[in-house]
Amino acid sequence: MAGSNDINQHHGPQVDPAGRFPWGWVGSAFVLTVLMFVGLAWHVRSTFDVGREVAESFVASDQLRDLMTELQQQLATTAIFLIATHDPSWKTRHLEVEARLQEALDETIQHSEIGYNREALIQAGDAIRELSRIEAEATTLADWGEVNEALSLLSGEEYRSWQQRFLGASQLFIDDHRRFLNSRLAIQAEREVQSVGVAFIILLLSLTIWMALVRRLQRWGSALDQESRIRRQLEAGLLQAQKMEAVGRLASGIAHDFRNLLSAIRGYVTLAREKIHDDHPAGHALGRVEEAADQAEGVIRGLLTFGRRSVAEKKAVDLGELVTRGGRWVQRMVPASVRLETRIADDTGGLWVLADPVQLQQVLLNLAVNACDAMPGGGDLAIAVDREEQATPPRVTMTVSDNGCGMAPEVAERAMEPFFTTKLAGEGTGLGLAMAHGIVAQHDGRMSIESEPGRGTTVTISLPAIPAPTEPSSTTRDTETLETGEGIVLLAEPHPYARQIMGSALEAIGFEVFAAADGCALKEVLSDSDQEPVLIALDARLPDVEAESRLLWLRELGYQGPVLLVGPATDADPAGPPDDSVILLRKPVRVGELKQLALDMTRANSDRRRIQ
Amino acid sequence: MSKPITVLLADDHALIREMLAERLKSEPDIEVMASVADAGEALEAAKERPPGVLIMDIDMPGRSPFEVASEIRQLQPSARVIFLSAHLNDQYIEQALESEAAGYLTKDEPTARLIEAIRAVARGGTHFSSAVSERIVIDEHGAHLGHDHLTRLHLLTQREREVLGHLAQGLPKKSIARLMGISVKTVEKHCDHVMEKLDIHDRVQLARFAIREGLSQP
Repeated sequence: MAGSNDINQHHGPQVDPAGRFPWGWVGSAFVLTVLMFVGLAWHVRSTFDVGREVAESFVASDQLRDLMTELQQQLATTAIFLIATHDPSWKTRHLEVEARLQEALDETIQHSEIGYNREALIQAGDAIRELSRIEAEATTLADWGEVNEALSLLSGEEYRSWQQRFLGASQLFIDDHRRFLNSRLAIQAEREVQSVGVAFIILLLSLTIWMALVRRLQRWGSALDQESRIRRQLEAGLLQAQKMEAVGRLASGIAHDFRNLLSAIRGYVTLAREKIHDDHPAGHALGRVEEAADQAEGVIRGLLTFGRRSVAEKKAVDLGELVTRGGRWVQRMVPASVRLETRIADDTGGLWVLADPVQLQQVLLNLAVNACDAMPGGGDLAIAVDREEQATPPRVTMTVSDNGCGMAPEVAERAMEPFFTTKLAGEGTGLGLAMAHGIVAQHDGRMSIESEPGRGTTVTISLPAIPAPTEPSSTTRDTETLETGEGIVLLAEPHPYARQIMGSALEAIGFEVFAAADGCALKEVLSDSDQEPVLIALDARLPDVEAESRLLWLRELGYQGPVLLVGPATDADPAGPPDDSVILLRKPVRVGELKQLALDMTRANSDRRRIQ
Repeated sequence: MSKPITVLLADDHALIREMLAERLKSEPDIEVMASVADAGEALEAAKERPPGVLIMDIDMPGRSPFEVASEIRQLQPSARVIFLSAHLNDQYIEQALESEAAGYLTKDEPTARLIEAIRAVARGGTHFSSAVSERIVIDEHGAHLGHDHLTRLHLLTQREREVLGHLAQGLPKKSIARLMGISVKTVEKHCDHVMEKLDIHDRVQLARFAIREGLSQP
């Protein structure tokens, strides 16, 4: 399994939570569902009520018809019995039945329900009245003794005809009422269909909303999963960064205290040396102490670099060029059994980064040494520089790969810790990768290790790219190797602290410096000096010298040598005729740059004089 | 014979203090007037008797040596301060230049260079380690460390640094707002500014930057 340890894992943008929870939609779905159930409940209730009413109405109308039919039959029967028996009780019963029938009819007509056929009832009432009239006539005939006549009236055509009419009217009433009830049932059924349809639509709508919500919840679920995965990665990365930082602080603390002790050891060695002769027997021992101190100093530097307590002299560096040059040293260093391949991406604009070239070379060498050590029997060492096309802002990567023994994941994880080494005692300090890590971090870079046991290791360093500089960096010249100057330099700078620093810097390279705070003091120094200054470094804004005439003023004082005008960035070039012995140096000015210019100008002036 | 240069030594490491005192005593033009263990004691000693040159370690417990250097400069303008440190650190250098220190040397340099520095600053000059000197930039306001060497932290306002520190601790924006007594919107604005200024657009890198710059303790 490949071991991977990325000290600066890069993650894409964070998963944006999929917006706010759609409470509105949830509310709508809930309201719709409730409405649907309320509607259905109301509908069931209404259907039940209508059904009950219809059923009751059916029963009532049937009962009414049965009652009327029965009463009509009782009426006919009581009339016949009255005629046949002349028993007055039959007359009483007949009258009671007649009254009940009339009352039932009247009541029905008066309180007729919606849908009752009143006309039929009135016709039935009329028929009853006609039947009563015939019965009354028959009773009268019977009273007169004409029983047969009376009975023939009750069985006559007219009486039967009115009975038929009564039955017909009753049947009509019942039929109409049933039709009415049937139509009510039909309307109710239609309403039921409509209600169920609406409920179905609401159900569909609710289901759609619920489904949309479920889908959204699923999306949130997966977003949450992704978020938690990224979070776990972030936490792991952060933990690693914190661990490295903690180790870095520890290493720096140790280095700091250790350097203090070393400083004391070296100081006392110097004191001891001053107290003994060169050929004293202790001299050799002191020399060994100094050697040990020097070696310890190397370890301290490594620890400080890992802890990012060293300072980086950053400038625009073409990483491609640096690796090309560094590759030549690496070539000399690698054993013959190792094939070195250097590949620089074809980029006409250069692969520029803001970095300390010395520190980057150290990183390259450390990585190359590790790669070679991982291939004791030989192998391929590849160094590549590329532009990270996808990165925003742009980045440049340097990759050092080998096909050596590789590292197990647990080894790769600890590879950048200081003093962690898999090499035999005495073969490595365990500081190489730790220093590289510190340097890369100090350059706002990322360093990652991909390794697989038996397959090899790839270390990738990614640094922020910068645009190609328009002019060579002024700090590319190493002032440590500057030649020394000689002669008097007059320095006029109003700011006292800047004057001290500039003066000391010029003195450090061999000039004798006379410093002045203003034009008046400068004039005094110039007139008092027996020897002509080799250079006058003059601030362009001396309080008592007008900016436009500063050069003229100097020339009027009789000084014809080189002048270094140090002015604000916004100042125009010095007025007056073109003069190659005058240079305008715009602030801010690096001390190193000032020293270099002072040397260049004095050298050029002395060459000019020699030619003249 | 001219007056010797009076030197006040301040270092919490007794071994170094004593070694330096012993070494400086052997120089006829240098007089070690006192040696103390921290910046506060150095201030008291300087008040009693102004030193010509104060050699002060930077990494000492107690008061900030830079503050003390500024105070001594106000009380005794003639006193020159040389900072001595176990290592170079951009922020230290910047602070040393802000306090208008006469020198900055590291402890890995030979004692002879310190003696050279003492003499140079006593003459009114300055003396910095070459690694420091090369990177000093002179502008209208004096001397500073070139901006290339400062971390991007100096681009952030104090408030933005606070927000960054909290972010690096993994606090959610709501909690940061509550802690700082500002609105979540303001916190978000600060976050945007921090990311823009540092050109760092993911949380891990921000956290690492904060840890590296000491805004957040691991």
